Amino acid sequence: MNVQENSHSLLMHLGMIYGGFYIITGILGIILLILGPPEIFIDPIEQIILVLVGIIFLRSYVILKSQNNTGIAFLFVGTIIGIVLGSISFLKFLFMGLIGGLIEESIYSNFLSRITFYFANPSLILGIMAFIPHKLIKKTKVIN
Amino acid sequence: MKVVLAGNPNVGKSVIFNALTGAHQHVANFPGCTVEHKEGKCIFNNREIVILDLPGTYSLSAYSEDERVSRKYLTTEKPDIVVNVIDASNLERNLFLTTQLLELEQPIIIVLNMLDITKSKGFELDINELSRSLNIPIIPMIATKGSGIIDLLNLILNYNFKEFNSPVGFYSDNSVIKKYENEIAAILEDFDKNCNLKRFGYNWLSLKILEQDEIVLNLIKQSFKNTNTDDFNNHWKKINETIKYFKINSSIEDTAVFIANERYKLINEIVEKVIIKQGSPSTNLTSMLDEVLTDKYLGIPIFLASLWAIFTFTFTLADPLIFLLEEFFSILSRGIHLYIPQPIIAELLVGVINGLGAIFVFIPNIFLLYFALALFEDSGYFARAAFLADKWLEKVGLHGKSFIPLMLGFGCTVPAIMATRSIKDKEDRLITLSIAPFISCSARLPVYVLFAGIFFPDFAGLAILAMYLLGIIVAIITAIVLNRFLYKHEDHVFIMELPEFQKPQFKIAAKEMWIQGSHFLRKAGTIIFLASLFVWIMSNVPFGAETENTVIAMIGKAFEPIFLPFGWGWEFISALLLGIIAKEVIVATLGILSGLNLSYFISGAMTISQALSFMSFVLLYTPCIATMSVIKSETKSLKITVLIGIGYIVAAYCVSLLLKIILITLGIP
Repeated sequence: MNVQENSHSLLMHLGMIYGGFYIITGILGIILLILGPPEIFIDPIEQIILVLVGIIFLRSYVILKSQNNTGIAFLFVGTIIGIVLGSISFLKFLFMGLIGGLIEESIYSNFLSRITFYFANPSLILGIMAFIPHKLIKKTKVIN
Repeated sequence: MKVVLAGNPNVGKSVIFNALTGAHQHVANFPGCTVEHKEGKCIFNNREIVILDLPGTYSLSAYSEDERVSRKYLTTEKPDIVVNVIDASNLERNLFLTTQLLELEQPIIIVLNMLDITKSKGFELDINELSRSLNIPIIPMIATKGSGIIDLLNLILNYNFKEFNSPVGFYSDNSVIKKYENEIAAILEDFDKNCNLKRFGYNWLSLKILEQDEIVLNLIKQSFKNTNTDDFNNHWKKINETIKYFKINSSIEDTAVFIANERYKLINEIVEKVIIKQGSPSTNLTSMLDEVLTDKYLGIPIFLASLWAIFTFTFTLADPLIFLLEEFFSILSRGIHLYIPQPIIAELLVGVINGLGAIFVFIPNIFLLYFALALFEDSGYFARAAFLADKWLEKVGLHGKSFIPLMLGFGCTVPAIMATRSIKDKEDRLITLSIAPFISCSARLPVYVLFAGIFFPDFAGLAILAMYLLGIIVAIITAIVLNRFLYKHEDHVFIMELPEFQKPQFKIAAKEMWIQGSHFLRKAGTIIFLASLFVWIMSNVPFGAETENTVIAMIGKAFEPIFLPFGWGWEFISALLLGIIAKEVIVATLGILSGLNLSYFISGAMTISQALSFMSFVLLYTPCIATMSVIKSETKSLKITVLIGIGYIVAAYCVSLLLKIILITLGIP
């Protein structure tokens, strides 16, 4: 299986950049969870998954660098998990934040703080970002 | 007319069965989904056709319980037509069973299923040539899309027995085997005066005798046991002598292996003739994804992350719906008090609504859990999870085949226990069956959702996942103990066919969600309804007494000394006792006793450590009555069933107490 040279290089670098992004965000979240004030809500599993996705992305970079195109598979799985994580984060915003806040008639500030939090959620942002490499992989012409 | 569907595992037999009969039998893309034969009826052109779906088997030399079911049925029941379902993309492997079916001298139709996959693999099949080579009618089919079903029904009704006269001894024209096969067949025919064995086909029996198939040898001995002893001894001696001469003259070391090789030679010749290559295969997503998802280091973390995603998805989406349903039942209760003047009837109705309502509010969770599981199953990922689990299960004395029943346990423990039939080794099966109830079923989900929502509102998904993981950990420890101290057995190699990855279909997942979810609704309308009625009566007898002095309170209080270390109130103990009927009854009981202010009641009656130990007790204690009765029927041993029941109470008590001690030591009240 060969991938066109340009795409190969682009995908390889995307793996490196995304790997870095996810790992740093995940680790920062874990540090904040340990050292930060207790009011800040951070799901530890979500942060661990962010690190895991980062590792998968970096692995794709390493494999693609050695001219082995199976690295694309790692990039693909990384983007899928990233998108799933982002989607769950979005659902949390939509259902627990927006609809949950409305039907529970919660205090306005609480409702606002929920929305602010979910918009600032790194999983959501990284999940949206993961669509870029995903689209690129799908467009890349893979020749057997 | 009786038609039987037979074939390798995971070729789509259950999909065809559902399409023919309109049934809703569970279908999945991993082997071992069907473990007992299922029967359904189909009316076509005003004629009734009885259809039987058999468990998948790779050959008629059956090893596991489910394969034995298929073999026994095919060899003894003699259906009118055998429909041999074949995976068109794996022709070589599937035709092995076909060659054996042909020897049974029964009318056969081949259904060439999954034809859409062959194109993506870069080849097409010459179906006419295949039909000519085998001398069997063939129906091309893509069962998931429903194509070919009507053609199959037409052929079943218009099958021309004379046109397709299947050759006997199809496997080979090897003269040595043929000679001795015929000799043994002649001995059997001569002795079989009552024609007990004729239904099996003398040639098939002869081949099995040459293969030294123990089941067939025992069958022949059994069939002749009532005949004249001398006559039997003479014929049996002749058979043994023939086998002896066969071994000397053929110089074949292992007849079964030799015959299998002969079959494959012939199959390869046919396959070469019928496969038409169509360029190179398209990019194989499956092999690409397998590189990552079955990775030595990343495979397990990805799987755990997937489980977390399932539970978080389930909890997140259901949360506002639960709130709306709670409101609905609250309004209903108030309405009854307002519009029904007779106080006793109103109280009874409100009591039952409180019980049913307490459990009904978790319907969104249960439906969403089934939906998420169905999406994963449909994608082909679960089969990979079994492959991943093999390495870890091996360490506790099991293997990957045990993973499928354990995964089914996430839905309901009853089919999970039945699915252990696909495990060949009896001890492996017994261990898997013993630990399966530790895997948390959907009936326990309402308890977790309720308690996690009250005590861990921001980490509910994580708290629920922790409960599922606790169940898995206890199951693993139990398997180690059982394997080390009770059952000693040899290691087995795990071989499993991995299905192609595919984009999960929303429609299939939604259908599966409805089938499984409606089981829950039916249960709620019957068992849980009756249990709620029973609980309400117990909580009101003697009539007019304070709840504290009713029968249910007395029962709960009687058991309080046993549960003293946990510090739970009598309401929770009563709920646990009644939960043995069905786990859903726990929440229903608490709903009746608290009068729908369930969250308020629980948060006031329990601390975090008490709540977590209660959740773990619910997870681990004695399985429900339905599960226990299936364990009894599968093990055929009351002793084992009772031991399992007691073992679960002991495990629940010890683990929950340990958990409470750890939490208190950590300063969590």
